[in-house]
Amino acid sequence: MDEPALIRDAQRGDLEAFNRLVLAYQDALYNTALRILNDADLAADATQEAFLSAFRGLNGYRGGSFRAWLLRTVTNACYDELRRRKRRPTTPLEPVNEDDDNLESPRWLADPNLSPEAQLEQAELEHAIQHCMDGLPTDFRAVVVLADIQGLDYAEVATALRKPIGTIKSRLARARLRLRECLQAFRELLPAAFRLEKERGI
Amino acid sequence: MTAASFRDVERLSAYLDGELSQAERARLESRFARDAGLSAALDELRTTRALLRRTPRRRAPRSFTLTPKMAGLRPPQPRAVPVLRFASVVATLLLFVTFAGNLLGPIALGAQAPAPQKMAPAYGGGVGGGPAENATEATDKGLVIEATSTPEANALLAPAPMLEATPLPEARTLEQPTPTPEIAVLEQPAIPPSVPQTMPEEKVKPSFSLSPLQIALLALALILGCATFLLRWQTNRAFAKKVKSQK
Repeated sequence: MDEPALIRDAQRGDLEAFNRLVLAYQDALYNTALRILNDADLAADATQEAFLSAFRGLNGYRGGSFRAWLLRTVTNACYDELRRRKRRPTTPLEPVNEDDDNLESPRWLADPNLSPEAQLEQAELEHAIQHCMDGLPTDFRAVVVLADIQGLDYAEVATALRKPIGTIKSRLARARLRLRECLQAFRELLPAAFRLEKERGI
Repeated sequence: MTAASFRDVERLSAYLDGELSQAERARLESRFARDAGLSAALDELRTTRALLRRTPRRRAPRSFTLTPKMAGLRPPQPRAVPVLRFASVVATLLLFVTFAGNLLGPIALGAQAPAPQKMAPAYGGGVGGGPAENATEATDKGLVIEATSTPEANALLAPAPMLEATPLPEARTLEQPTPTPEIAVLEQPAIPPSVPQTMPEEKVKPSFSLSPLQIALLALALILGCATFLLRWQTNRAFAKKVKSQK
């Protein structure tokens, strides 16, 4: 994919070129929205909203990381959504069945390559992380989602959130500190996840 | 990790991400050997970051590609569209100008033309009215009013029109010799004798009717407006078909 060429064409109003960029980035934008909002339906809405505003404001993109620029549109859409959220009921991220057993390996997460145990662990890990993320203020959550889940560097996060790098650095450290404390509680629940990291020695 | 200050945690966090300057990194690394708490804190942060990085990724539940409609793309409009629309607006504005003229006219000219019409009912009660005034500015309407409003006249008018018609118009023969009185008289038999009081008002109304200019302007505005609408509708439909065939 020749990204700069696609962006140039899209900036001239070529919708087909833009839609190829959408397909390339929609997973990244959707997951960002999902982790910030913790709601599948609202995340989909925010993603669609983000691509729409990205297309309209595409001429405002002046080089640099296109991914960071796109992630800015989705974080903006998430902030808008969070402002509206209080007035609207939300759908839970975990599909709850009749027994209220929401840790059952959900179908939407199923990776056919994983063993049932691994799938269950994935679901538990997701639940733990999302639970801890929810305890963070939005500004901290956005930084951690962009840096640790999307893997942006500090400069990109700064672009996406329109904050100085110093602020990003400080918020990320604080968010990690708070997440560390929260995730400690899941250490017994998620032995494999913690063990794996130790063994890998990352 | 208990001993590490927040400044240190910030440095460790940035160190993990490779975001420290060369000098800062060297200074921090030199402390690891001496400070066991610092190394432990680094391990904790590293584990946390590794966990976060393993957050399961979900696939987008659907495609978020934009349709031309969502993107708000509009087909290029033919050049005639703005021209037609502008002409239609101008015709409408001119029409309103003529209406405004109609409304303001009587007020501005209040002392002259409308006077006899307004005065007419007042004179209607009397016999014959003031000939001097009618003679100068009489219209055919004024004449009708004069002819009808006398109650005695109505009774006589039907059987023998000529008798009634002659005494009144005498004063006006200078301007309206014969045809107008006859028209006025011919209309009379159709009207029942009990309505003479409403007659003057009904006859005044026609002064608000559309002039040929106004009718022409109205037609022009409507035709141009419809043409604009049709042209746009046609291009939009052609564009929608083109978009569909591309998909």
